[in-house]
Amino acid sequence: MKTFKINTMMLLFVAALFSMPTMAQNKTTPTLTDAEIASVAVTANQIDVDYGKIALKKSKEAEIRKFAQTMIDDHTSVINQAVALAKKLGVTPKDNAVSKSLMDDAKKTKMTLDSKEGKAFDKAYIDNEVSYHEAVISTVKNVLIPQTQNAELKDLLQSVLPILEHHLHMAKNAQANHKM
Amino acid sequence: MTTGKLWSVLVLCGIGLLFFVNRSFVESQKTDALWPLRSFTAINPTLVTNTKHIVIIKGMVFDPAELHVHKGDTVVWINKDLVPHNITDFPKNRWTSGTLALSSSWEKSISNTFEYYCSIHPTMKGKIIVDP
Repeated sequence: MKTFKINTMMLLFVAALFSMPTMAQNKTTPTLTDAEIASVAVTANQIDVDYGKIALKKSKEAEIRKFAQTMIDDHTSVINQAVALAKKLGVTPKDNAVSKSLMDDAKKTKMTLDSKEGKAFDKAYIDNEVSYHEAVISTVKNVLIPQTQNAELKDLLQSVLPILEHHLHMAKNAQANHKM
Repeated sequence: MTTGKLWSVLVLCGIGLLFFVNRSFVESQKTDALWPLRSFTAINPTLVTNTKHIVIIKGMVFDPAELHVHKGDTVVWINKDLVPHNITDFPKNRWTSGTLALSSSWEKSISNTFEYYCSIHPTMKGKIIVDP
């Protein structure tokens, strides 16, 4: 009887251990509809277009300017595809907690970037590009793709991933050249 | 017309017919005799029309990244990605396609082996190999 009690307690302990990460995930992973996912995709791309425009205004460094122009062109192109697909599917992108949080963070980052000049700006811009792309890749992979219901929207998000990964690689290369 | 004359006309017609049939037969033999030669010329690579090869740009890669062609062939690059790309000589940038918008294509006649890349996204690389 005593052994049974100990075994039961151990099982409960193990079950509790295994259930912890699941509970944590449920608590932190927001639930989104396809309309909200489309909004997050458009917002995330628009934020990087805006960062690129700030860089073109403030940086004199050729590598930074070329990278910023590529970010503007590529993310604008992705936005156009996302908007066209949403229109085709009859989905109106809808603001939500994730897109609002992205916009709030972007507001703070833009203020930081605006306050810097010269090499300090170049470093701040490229450092942010590395961390921003890392965060967006993680969100697309772990939050947006698994929750997307529509197959075409899911395909679009999956096609965006290699672009984001390539941007991250380019940003890391530029970061290595702009260490202070 | 007498029976004799009629026979003569018939015999002459017969000879004429035989000659005609025989000539057609010889011609068809000549044609047949040419057939293996024609077949040979059709497979002779120097006389075959140059081939068009296609490279698809999608998911930030050139597919196929390495392509074997013959001298004089044409390669067509089609941009099926979500973002603009280009095809540029690597590493010397001696020529470029210019920006390839979405769903657009660019072609080049191939005369030698070369490497190329997308100068917008420099890790995207490809190679065209001219086989002997």
